[in-house]
Amino acid sequence: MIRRLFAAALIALIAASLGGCRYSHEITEMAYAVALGIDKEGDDIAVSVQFAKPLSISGGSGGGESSGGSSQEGEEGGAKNKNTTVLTVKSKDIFTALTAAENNLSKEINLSHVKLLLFSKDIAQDGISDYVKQFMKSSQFSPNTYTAVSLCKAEEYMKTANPSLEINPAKYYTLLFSNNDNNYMPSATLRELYFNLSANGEGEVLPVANLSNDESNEESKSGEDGYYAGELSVGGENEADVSGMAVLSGGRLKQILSTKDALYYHMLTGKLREIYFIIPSVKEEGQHITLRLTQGKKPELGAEEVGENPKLSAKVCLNGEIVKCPDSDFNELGIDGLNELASSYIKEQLESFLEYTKNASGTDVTGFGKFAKMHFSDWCGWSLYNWQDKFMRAEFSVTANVNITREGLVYSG
Amino acid sequence: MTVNKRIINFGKYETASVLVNALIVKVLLGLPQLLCKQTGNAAWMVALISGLAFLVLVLFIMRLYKRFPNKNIITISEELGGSALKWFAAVLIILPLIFKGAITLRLSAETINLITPYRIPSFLTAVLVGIVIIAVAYKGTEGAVRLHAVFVPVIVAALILVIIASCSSFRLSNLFPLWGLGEKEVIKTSASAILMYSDLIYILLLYPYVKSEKVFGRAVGWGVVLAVIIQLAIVLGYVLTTQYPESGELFMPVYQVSRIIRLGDNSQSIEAIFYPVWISSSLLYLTLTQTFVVEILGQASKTKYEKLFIVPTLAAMFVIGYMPKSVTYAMQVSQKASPILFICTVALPILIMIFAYIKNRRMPYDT
Repeated sequence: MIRRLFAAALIALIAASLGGCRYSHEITEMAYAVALGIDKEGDDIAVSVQFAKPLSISGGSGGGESSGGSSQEGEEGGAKNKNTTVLTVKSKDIFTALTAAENNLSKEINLSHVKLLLFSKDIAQDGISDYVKQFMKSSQFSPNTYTAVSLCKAEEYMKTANPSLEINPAKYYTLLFSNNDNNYMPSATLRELYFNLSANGEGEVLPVANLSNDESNEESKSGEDGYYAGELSVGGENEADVSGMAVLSGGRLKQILSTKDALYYHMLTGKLREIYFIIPSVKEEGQHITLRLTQGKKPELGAEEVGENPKLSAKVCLNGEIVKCPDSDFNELGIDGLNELASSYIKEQLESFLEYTKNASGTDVTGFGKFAKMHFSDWCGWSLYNWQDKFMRAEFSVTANVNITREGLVYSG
Repeated sequence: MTVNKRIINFGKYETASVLVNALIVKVLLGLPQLLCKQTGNAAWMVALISGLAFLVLVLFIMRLYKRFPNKNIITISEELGGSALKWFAAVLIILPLIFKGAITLRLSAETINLITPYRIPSFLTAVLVGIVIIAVAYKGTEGAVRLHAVFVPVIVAALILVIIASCSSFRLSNLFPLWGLGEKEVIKTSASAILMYSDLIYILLLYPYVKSEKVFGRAVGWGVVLAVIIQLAIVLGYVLTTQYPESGELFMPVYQVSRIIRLGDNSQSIEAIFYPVWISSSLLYLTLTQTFVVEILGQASKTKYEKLFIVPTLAAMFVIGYMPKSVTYAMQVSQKASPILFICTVALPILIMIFAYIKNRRMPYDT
């Protein structure tokens, strides 16, 4: 009996001690960050944190008019999205900035829902390796957080991003950057970026964010030409744009590529989704052929030889459907001729993409290095080979096979 | 003298569960990262080679064991060298067990503190773990082993889930260059990795509790083979998802792999599965260690009041566990001590069994 009483008392004691509120975290006492941006401010950095306003998202009374962001200096920011607020703090380090930001808020900052890490162009040019390692070391950030480079100030981008079709900012960033159907930008999570920073065989690519600036950008591009982030005139409420890709080498920004380049990058890496692709007509000047392309099978990348001039090969297989084709092209070339035309056009474009990225950034964006290292038995041999150096002398051989399997619902171009 | 069996009779399932958990607890904590640091992406080869070598070692021990049915290593020592050898063997087995238990206690408390958002002091976590250990230890070996039978299948299922769910992040190119940091490193590390199998001692302690010799043989076979397969799968999964050199830097590899799993948009925090897995595995391991330390002390001193040893041994674990200044330092100490632990818990008992085998070889089997 005494033993039972003792056991009961012990259980009651433990239960009482565990039920305390000392370490409690109430949801309503948290400020949920959805995006974090880093800008350069002289010798320091400016860390901008975009917070979700849960009451506003859920349609409660916390919404209302645009509240704007606030900076540490007390300046009212101009956040266009009424569901978020942006707070910017200048500091030497990310985490000290976050501590300062927390002091400014009435709530504890929770970073577990951060969906986007945005590095400004200046920061990316100086190098982002240290920041990426800091984020990876912290258990507060998910390794699946998306990363991007911003051509404008990261703070401006976050204040301007105003999704008209999505209330939840975290969902908006997830849908936008997860690249489920977007061929015009790559997707890069924090973990992938961390690995590629030191990988001796694959370059780092990040999506590029910018503000659409219709007033200053007189030569606004059309979608099919290939354009850089911020160049496309889309109109609408959201002036923030994400398109094209940034190429980094050793953690430093080397090159900004257009949406067309991003499309070829997807073709070569096997990440291509359904795309409407335009080929100039060979029979009628000024006309074009539109094909709906999908990846037929995974592209076959390889390193045939790994000597002084590595011979790298890529075989891309695409399935196509005719969406628009001038009659003259359709009647004279036939399906076989169109297949051949599309194949040779895409082959030419892919080769030019590979040469361009190689010469402009010196980075193996497609990841041929992963196949070149298979020729080596150990890391010592692979490191001595110096892929970065050898890649600059690489020769590419691209094969593109377009197989038009459908002609749509009408038998003609 | 055989250990007091009371009415305990474990079957194949319970015995195998004990061995599986004792052998995979180190894989959950940091073994894949350690192997990657030493051999690069060839860590899976080390896991395979050392695993096979371990199986051969177990086969050898089981062959020796045929001469000593229903006897644990303390009983065999006593038969071979009397009371002096019995105490010698008991002390040399207890000290490494306490040391390993102490390090596991510290690491489990610290890592729980590190990976959970709660800011509870690690010492408080360790105290809570200690209370559970005491409660189980009072139930004796049966309590500890039956707990294994309940929780180990859950742990194994969770690990299989983590490996399968992380398949989409596998990159075959991570396996190349095939020999990682070189053939020499692979062979050298494989040889030293065998030293980490000091938990083999539980095979030598469990025998008297198992129903029959046949059941014991099968249980050891199943347990060891399953543990080696799980270990290989975890190391291979880690290498395939995490490329070198980063694979040699990430803390708690299984946790890191579980962090990248995404099952649709609604299940993005599968790492939560790691908390109960790691806590259960380390708790089971600690209860087993504590129970057997108390059991050995009781058997060596021939006392009926062996439960009096529970609190002092746990106190010793606390003191030793909280001696290292940091978690990293505790892990380094544990790694450096592995040759000594292997000598005390594997080499010495094998030597005792060989001498006992030679002494008894002309004697008929003790049935």
